[in-house]
Amino acid sequence: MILTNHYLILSIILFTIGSAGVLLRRNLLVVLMSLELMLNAVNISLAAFSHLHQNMAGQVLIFFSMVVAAAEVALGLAIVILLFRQRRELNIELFTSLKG
Amino acid sequence: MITAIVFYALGLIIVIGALTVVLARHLVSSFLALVVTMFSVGGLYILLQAPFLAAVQLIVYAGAVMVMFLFIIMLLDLRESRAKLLPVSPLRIISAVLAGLLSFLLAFVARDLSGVEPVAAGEGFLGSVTHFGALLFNQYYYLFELAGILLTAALVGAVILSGRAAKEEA
Repeated sequence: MILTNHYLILSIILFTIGSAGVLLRRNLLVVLMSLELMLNAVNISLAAFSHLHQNMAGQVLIFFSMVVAAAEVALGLAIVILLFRQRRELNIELFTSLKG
Repeated sequence: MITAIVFYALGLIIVIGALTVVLARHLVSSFLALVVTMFSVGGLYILLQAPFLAAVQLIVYAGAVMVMFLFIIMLLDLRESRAKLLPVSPLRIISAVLAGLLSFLLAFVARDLSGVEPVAAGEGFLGSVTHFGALLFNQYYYLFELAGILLTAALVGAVILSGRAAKEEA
């Protein structure tokens, strides 16, 4: 039997790797992929807690989080296409026009 | 015993896959590593008695979302697909340190749970799709409908955004 905290530590490792990707990578698509990693890390911890408490509500929450992630990816990739049309590149350092 | 072996194998694949996503030089390598990671997370759901979520993970994440990513990688003819790291700046070092501290904090919280054993599994309690569906369509029915509205809104938004892009192109 694997203890819940093993799942949680795996989730933390995955979340940290994902946040490092969001913070450190230049490519917009890789940043989106790292966001997916972070979402999956949170889902793992939700599933672990759902298993710990034998409560299905956590699984329902994961289901809704997947729905939101799908919507986010659809919109995010549409915005990526728009940005790419504008600048012909995906380097996030180019997209600073909102910086003021 | 076999559960432990499967868990550690999946965990290793997940960590290596995630590291490859973040560190790979080529966009396509990142993408393939992400697909492998999503598959392994689906395996974890099976270990955690959530077979329905495992199926959804494979169909929605490893299937639909990844195909979307692949289409975008294919559509955008990226001349310079060798993506580099951001240049180092003091702000970035501070944010990296803060992110590390955050994960330490999370690990500390998780350590506190080390003595907690799972509740003895009831008969066919977790993971039964019947139970999941009953919960989803009774207690969380309005949320389910809201999710449908959200997906429709995302669909319309994506169509409008890409339609505008096509118009600007013309």
